[in-house]
Amino acid sequence: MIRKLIVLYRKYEAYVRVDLIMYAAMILMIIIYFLYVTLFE
Amino acid sequence: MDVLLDPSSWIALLTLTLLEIVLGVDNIIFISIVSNKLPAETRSRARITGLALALIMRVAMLLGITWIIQFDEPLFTLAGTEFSVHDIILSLGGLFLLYKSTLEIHHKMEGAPKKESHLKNVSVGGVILQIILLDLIFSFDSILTAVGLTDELTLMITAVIISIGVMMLFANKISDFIGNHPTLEVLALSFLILIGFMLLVESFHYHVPKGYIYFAVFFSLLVEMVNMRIRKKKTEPVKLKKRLEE
Repeated sequence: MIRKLIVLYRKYEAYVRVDLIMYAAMILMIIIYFLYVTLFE
Repeated sequence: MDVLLDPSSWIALLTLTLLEIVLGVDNIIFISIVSNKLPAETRSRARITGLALALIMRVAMLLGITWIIQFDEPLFTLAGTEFSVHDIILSLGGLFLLYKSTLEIHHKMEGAPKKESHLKNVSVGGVILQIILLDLIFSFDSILTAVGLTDELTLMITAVIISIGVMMLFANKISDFIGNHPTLEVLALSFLILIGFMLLVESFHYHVPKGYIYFAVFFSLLVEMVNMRIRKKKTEPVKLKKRLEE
């Protein structure tokens, strides 16, 4: 399954790169928020 | 659900649905290219199953992003303005829409389409997986557009369901219509630039009434309808470049 995803990613990389970066930024935001709330509140 | 009975919500719903349908044309093309690798008898089933599952994923993403946007506790202060997760997501989303729509306009005008490689031995499951993943990734700008155009989750979900339903039923007719009227596609991408800018402004706590966007969208569409009527196909339309071709 992981290999299939990697093959798909390499095939469509040029089209999806910006969108995947945005997804990663959103996920990072959520993690940072929950860390902040846990550590500082 | 009362929001759907409010006439002022219908404008938001109509605007959002129209934008989702026009912007979904590229998704339709990708899905057609991917599903055309299958034998004819399984093609339609793969397309409909993939789109149905993609619809569920899109609604889940909408729910997720509207949940995240509720986090409005200030995290830090910059230039006298407090920023929360809500503000950061709006600003990132606005920048993303500005970048993506500018890039798409550039590709449609000047980009070189890539030929899709013909793979043998594709399975229905593999094609469905590709459809779901591609739709999920490409729907991020649709989700941000929905967030930028309305605050009502019911309207966002209704617009997504209608647009995917329309894509399932009328995919070929819509892509033919948009192919014959490329101005509509460029207009839709321009509206994304407007919405992206508006999201950015809202992230700095300047509230922009959504009515400005609805007016801009409908006025532009009205002008284009008049143009279409006047031109009446006297000349061949410009063929916008596709990102992927068979």
